[in-house]
Amino acid sequence: MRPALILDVDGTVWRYGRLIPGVAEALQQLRRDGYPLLFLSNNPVPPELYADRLVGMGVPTAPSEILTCLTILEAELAQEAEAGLYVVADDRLQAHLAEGHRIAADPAAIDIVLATGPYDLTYDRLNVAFQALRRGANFWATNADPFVLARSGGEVPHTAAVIGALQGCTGRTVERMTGKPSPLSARAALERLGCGPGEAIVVGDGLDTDIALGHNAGIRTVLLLSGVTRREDLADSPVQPDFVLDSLASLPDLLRGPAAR
Amino acid sequence: MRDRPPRRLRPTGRARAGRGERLSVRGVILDLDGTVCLGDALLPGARQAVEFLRRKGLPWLFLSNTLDHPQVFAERLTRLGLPTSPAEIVNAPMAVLRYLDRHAPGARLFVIGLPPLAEQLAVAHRLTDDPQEVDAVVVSVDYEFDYRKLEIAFQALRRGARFLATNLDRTWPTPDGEVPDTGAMLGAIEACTRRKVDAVVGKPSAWMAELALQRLGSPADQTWVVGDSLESDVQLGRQAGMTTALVLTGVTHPEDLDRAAVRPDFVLDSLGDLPALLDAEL
Repeated sequence: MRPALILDVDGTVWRYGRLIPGVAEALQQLRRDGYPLLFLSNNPVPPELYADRLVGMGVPTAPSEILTCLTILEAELAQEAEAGLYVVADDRLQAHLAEGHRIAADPAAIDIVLATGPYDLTYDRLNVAFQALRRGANFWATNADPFVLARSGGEVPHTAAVIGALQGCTGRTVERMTGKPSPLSARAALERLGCGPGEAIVVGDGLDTDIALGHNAGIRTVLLLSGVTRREDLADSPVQPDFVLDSLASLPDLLRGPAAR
Repeated sequence: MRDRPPRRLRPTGRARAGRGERLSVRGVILDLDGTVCLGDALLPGARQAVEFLRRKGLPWLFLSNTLDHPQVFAERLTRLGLPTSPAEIVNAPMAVLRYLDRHAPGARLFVIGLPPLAEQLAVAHRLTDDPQEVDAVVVSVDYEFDYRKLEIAFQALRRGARFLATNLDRTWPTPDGEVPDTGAMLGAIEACTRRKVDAVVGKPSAWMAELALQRLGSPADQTWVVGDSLESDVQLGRQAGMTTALVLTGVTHPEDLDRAAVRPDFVLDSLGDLPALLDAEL
């Protein structure tokens, strides 16, 4: 039985909005070799959006093969039907969530403060979230990435900034995180793949996300140096990958070799 | 009227002339918020204490983490009935300037903070919001904090800019309740850059203590610091080797003292108790 592959997307499949060289061929090869694939992303977007983008880049992918921290969040929120939700600070995500959930703006009516991308951050928004958390609202986050690759190049701050801000003024820590490396995300991925942790491999460019997920859940890991992590970052990392590759392009060879058995 | 005498918590363990001998007080540092004033009111005994210091001819000053222009604060105190000159106030922006003067003279700054902070720093430094140019990022509470500012700080700090904060307070009390203070901006920036702030220059830092001592011209062991905060006033005094007196008119309650990591030499109900205490030591 071939192991199932849990693949990151940004910095793994594409970078700065363009496919990483050799990745399309590698994915095709992996499919031919019979590896079950699941894309697991910490970007809170609908899977359809990523499926369209991948298809557009020449990587045939079905939405059912994509799991994002938004998918997992929506499954969690389905169990909190009446909860008032406050999103800090991503208007696009808020508009998406407003379709099925109650968005609250009055601290007294907020049951869940959801920390996510900081793109629409303001002091006033932080203050509303602060007041709600002080009154006992739950503290959730889509992910905890310090920064992500910008489509225009370089890196930009991400959800860790929002979490850090709220932690810095309330002293509270996130209670539920739907993205990597949370147990929720590991469980969701393994469930979707229908396998146990011993039958999967996590592949991605993030030490704090992909590799930590594997480390926490007992899944083997492959770190790729095609995204946010440089080789010298490894020395300071509390979690270490089982394998390190320059990019996803070399994954088929690694899996065929004796090392991965 | 006070109903009990100032309490001496414990004899100090520091080198002094010796127990029982008279102390020579050569300088006095007074905190402002929670010690001399609270919002738009003078606290009990504040005016008498300041009048006492002036009458005795003791060097003294106000030392505050406020970002307000000394002029603005002095006018406010004067309006409240305590005539004050700007020269009697040492604030956090002055400590930032001193730190920069020592460590990064001529540094181009990106400032996250209320307008008075940027205004006071702009006197000696060029302000810029181009991350490529920023030599130091100065972080304080900022009601206009937003993604744009976060990203500029992020890019500048990733490029190696110096990272300063005026204070570490999580929250700031307002008439409408507490609101996020510097801790929020700092938490955001530290978490996404994975950097820790290089220096916190407001109280209780050595920068503030040095500024005050220089202005007073008094040696630390003959200087008193009086304030309402264990973390900023008492801590500053202990680190610098000053005599410390806590007043209970601000953020500290008597029960906080039991589990405090730093303890003051004296605990006063208010600044009104200071003249009698100093008289005994002079």
